[in-house]
Amino acid sequence: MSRWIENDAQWYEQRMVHCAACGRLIAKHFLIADVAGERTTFCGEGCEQIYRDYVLTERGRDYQRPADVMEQYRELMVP
Amino acid sequence: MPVRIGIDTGGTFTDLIGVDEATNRLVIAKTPSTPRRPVEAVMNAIENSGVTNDAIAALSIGTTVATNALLTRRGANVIYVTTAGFEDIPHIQRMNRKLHFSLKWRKPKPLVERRNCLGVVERLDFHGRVLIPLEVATLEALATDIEARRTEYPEGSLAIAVCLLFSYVNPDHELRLRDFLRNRFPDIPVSLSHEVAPIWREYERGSTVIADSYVKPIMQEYVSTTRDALEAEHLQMPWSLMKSNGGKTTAESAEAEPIKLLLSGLAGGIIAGHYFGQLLGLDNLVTLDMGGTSCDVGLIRGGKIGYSTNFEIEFGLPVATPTIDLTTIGAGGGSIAWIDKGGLLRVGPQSAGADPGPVCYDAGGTEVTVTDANLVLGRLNPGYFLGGKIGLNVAKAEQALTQLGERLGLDKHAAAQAVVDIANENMANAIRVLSIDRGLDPREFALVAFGGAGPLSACDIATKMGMTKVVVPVYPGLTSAFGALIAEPKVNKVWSKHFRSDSTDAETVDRHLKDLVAGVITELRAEGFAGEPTVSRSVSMRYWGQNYEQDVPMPDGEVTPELLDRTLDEFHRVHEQFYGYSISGETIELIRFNVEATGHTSIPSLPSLPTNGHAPTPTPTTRPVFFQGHGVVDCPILQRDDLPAGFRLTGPAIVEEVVSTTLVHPGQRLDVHPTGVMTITL
Amino acid sequence: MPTQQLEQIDSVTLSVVNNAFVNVCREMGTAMMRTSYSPIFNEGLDFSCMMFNTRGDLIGQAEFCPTMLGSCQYAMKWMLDEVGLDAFGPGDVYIHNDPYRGQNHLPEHLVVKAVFWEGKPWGFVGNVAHVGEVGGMAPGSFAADATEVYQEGLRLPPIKIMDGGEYVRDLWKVILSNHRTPKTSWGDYHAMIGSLHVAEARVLELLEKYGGDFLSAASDQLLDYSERFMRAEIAEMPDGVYYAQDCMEDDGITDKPYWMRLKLTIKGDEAICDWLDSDDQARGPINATFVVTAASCYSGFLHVISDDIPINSGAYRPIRIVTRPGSLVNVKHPGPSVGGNTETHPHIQNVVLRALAGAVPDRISAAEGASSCNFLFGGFHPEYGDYYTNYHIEGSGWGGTVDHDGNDVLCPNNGNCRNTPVEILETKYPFVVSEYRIRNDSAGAGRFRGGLASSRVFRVTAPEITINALFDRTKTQGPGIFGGEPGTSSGIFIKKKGDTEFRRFSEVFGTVSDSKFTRVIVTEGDEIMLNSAGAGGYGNPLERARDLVEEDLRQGFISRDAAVKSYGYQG
Repeated sequence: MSRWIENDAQWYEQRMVHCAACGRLIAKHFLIADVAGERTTFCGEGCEQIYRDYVLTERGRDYQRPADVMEQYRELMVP
Repeated sequence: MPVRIGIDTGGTFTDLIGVDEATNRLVIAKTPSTPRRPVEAVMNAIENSGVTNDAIAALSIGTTVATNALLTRRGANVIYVTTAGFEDIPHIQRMNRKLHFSLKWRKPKPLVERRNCLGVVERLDFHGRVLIPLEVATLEALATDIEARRTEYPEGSLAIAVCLLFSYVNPDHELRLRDFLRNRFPDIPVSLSHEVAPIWREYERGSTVIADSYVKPIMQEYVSTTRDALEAEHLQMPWSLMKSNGGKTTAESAEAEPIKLLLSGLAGGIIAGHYFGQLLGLDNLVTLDMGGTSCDVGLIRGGKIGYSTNFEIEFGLPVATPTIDLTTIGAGGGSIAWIDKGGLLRVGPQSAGADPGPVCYDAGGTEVTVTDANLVLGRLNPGYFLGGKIGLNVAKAEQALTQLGERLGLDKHAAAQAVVDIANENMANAIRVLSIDRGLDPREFALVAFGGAGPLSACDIATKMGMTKVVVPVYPGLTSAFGALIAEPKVNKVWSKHFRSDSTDAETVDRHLKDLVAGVITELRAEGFAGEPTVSRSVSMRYWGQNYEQDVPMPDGEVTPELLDRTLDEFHRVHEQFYGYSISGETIELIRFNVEATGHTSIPSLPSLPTNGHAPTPTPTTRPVFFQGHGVVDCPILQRDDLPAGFRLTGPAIVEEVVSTTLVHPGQRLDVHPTGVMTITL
Repeated sequence: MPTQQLEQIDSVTLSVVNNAFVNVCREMGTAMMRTSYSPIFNEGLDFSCMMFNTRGDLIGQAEFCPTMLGSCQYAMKWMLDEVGLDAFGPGDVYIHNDPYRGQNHLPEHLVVKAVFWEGKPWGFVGNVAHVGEVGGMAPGSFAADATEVYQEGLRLPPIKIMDGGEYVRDLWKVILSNHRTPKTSWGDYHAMIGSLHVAEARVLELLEKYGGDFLSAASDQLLDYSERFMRAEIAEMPDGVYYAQDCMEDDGITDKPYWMRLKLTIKGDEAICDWLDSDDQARGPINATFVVTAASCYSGFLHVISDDIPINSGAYRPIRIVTRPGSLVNVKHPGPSVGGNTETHPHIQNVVLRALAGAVPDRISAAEGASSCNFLFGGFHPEYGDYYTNYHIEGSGWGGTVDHDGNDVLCPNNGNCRNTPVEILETKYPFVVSEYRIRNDSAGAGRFRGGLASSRVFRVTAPEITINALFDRTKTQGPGIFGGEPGTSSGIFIKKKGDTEFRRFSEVFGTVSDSKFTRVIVTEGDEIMLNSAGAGGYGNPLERARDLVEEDLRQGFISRDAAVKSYGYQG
């Protein structure tokens, strides 16, 4: 279950909160969801869905790029 | 019985209309154009008109020779001479693109080959001071390069365009190049950028002078063959050519600066539209000249025709000379209807042309056109299209519209109505470009519709634009020729001189303006004008820091500091009016001083039609016609020649004549003016 | 949120409304061009005019800069979220340039005005413009060796600069006091705000004609229509996972490349652009903000689909973005980002096209030159006396495609800007341009070659001028595709007065980077050469039609050597 909450930062301060899926900064209204047991912040329902359907399944929560990422991509690109 | 004649050489037809100055009787002729030798059609038209040679008092011609040479890329092999280091400017252009999200768009090809862009060592700075002088050795090197090209290209196909940096500030080097080149290559025409377009921005000035050179040989050929043909027929009346600015000019001046005739064939329509507006006491008009493949829209505001210096041959190829402000779109009877990927119906800009033409021509065309849609709606008479010259196949058109409708979930009438609606919307957009985009409310304008297809769509388009009055001239198929007939000689001159508003020099300005005025009047006299010309002055100005100028009219009278102040005040006012703000106290730059002289010639009157008292009231036939919101209606059909002066009716009605059809929707009122001009009140 | 539930509006009316919105934006653009002060606006056209609905969706635009059109919805939505719709009153104008509030980089300012209908805001007219001088450590506010956003200029959160039609003078004083050329900024902001007045009047005419509810419904349906259009286009592409990578050659601070990597998933009618494999963010200002990366993705897709789609936020919906904060493609506060929008954007978009090559090989292009060759300068004008700055850009080649050569010397894909005419440049600034040419042989060979690059030489005519540069592709090249060759690198070089040849800036001035530096002082008689980059070719050069090779030879676009070497030309 996810719910919208409003950033409680004062007008004179800015909190740098990023969406867990797209990574963008969120202004004032966040979507908080419990994903696989962890409280996770999103900019909207679409991103929550992408996170569940794609990021978690394809990349995992704390994805680290592999050391040979450059070679991998070189292999995978069209010539 | 002296007859003044106007001729319009179009792509398909050459039209002639003449007025007998004594009787006001009109003569007309329409002959097929002869693109290879345009003068032949001109002579044929004169012959067909039945006017005897000695009766012709004056002849003026609008021609699309220059327009077509540019559009079909059949002009001269241009040699572009420019400051060394800047030979690639015509190919570099301005770096922006027409479509902002497209890999398909291709940069326009300039009208000059890169190998023919030749640099000369010379340089001025922005004050016009010489940084590098133009040396004799440089000229000789240039002559060698040009000489080499003479053997490569067909004789008579070369033309030289000169554009040096900052020549609009100091023309000295361009003038020296001209003298040298004319002396060395007397058979190759030379155009100078500071003469053709004395503006800053080297690409735009260069593009304009290249276009001038590009059409020069072909225009010189056109002028000389016309001159020869007229002489061969012993026609000795004065004759002139329409310019893009709506004025007319002598053959000699057309040969010297042919780019000023770029829109020669299009300007006539607007001149005529203006005339018909004046005739009916209408000051705000939109003119709509619609044929088979293109539609030209012009604007007349407060009784005045609008002008522009931003014409583009295609996106990215500007021609910066004064033109009547008009916009041309690829929309006409032949425009093709199609369905895009998102499922939206679209019309044009592709056209079925004359071959194979619309489906209903039954000449192999398979794509639905606007003409097909009009036919299915009952708006066109299948037996009387172009006066019956082409029989239209209704069944084929209906079948095609039915198929198109199936893809859209519409019946054939709804589909045809949708096609017509979208085509009309495209034309309405062309009107918006000229009106709404400039902050003008089209609802305050009347629509003057002509060309073969104009009167058919006019009431629809006017409704879309919220306009309430439509005017259909007499002989709507010949309106452009009529424009050529009534056009007046007009001369513009410009003094490019830079002042800041905090350091103007009224005395110098006054002296130069007096010289300019004397110059334009001399030229008018040379064009055979004997009367009292109208002279107007304006100043191109901008705030110090801005890059684009606004032309501000200058009051009459001697130029004094006080008069300059009034002109500056007017600039603030004009800026406020156009852009919603002015910056009081800001320095203003004065860039150019413009003078225009027009030679007013008496305009012929149109003959009067008989009134109801004499002619019998016409008895209409009827035919089923589909009208949106009314369905199929038994619609009265009238012949225009039968309509007397003062005749009026309430739509629905269709008025047919040889080369056009006027559609009056239910509830609209048609009135016939004593001259035969029809007005429709929406 | 309440959307007007009207029945489906007919497609003709929708087209009309869309065209009307486009025309409103074009007209704003003309007003901006004609009245602004800086060449980057009146000649360069580095601005975009747009319309938004009250949710901040882009509903109207015209032929302006893709990066601004892709990112503006984020800035607008942020503004609405932060200050609230109720904060907008009649005659109010808000301004906003904060890259940490949804703007793409600091110089680009969004000004917006609500259009009121029946006492409520109906929507917004907006203008995003690259203001040429906004303070910070470098004249022209392109700080190529900045390491924090605070060095890049004055950050403005969404704030009101016009209140009921009146200047909020205290704020204007703060802003203009932080710009090196306050008078020019004053003229440029006026032009921006003036364009909003022009647009407001036109939108009000539309509202009078159609009514507010109808026009809202029409714009909502246009958003949906464009979404359907984009979904249909993506659905036509083969499902699959496609990869591509490219790099920025350095960041001005450290001499090493920074890589961006895209794993693109096409599945049904949606696309996921996953950038998680990209490098960590740079210390220097080549970082892209999230919105720049998003705009690059949208633009990449728009470049390969039909040109007929109405451009609005709806078109963007089926394209999903995944990034990691703190990476090259999503900079974290307080990282710098000025070059991310101008230089990294076209690289990112080229990567998107490269990945799409796996799905739609006939619709993409090889990589373009992809550097605007940002060149900035400032100083006191020896004749006019006042302090000036200027933002100068160059065009580069566009990539070869399946059926035609790439365009020569064109604004990189993130913008749609013009060059500044030599005659205007020299009238305003103390330089003499001694040449401005197409660089022969600068394009990558291919069945269809890349577009050619340009070269320009400036000679300094003032006692001194402070210059800054932010280029890329000076050491790397825009790759060709399907056997096409890469384009030639760009470069900026200096010939000190009395020298005989051009040299690198690192050599003469000891800058860390040859392509990214600030506050270098050049003096009278020095010459600076700006070379832009050529583009990659498409397909095997040996398959190029012989008449095309011959025409290039005839016009001098390629040399005989290149014809023989790249194209195997024997003639």
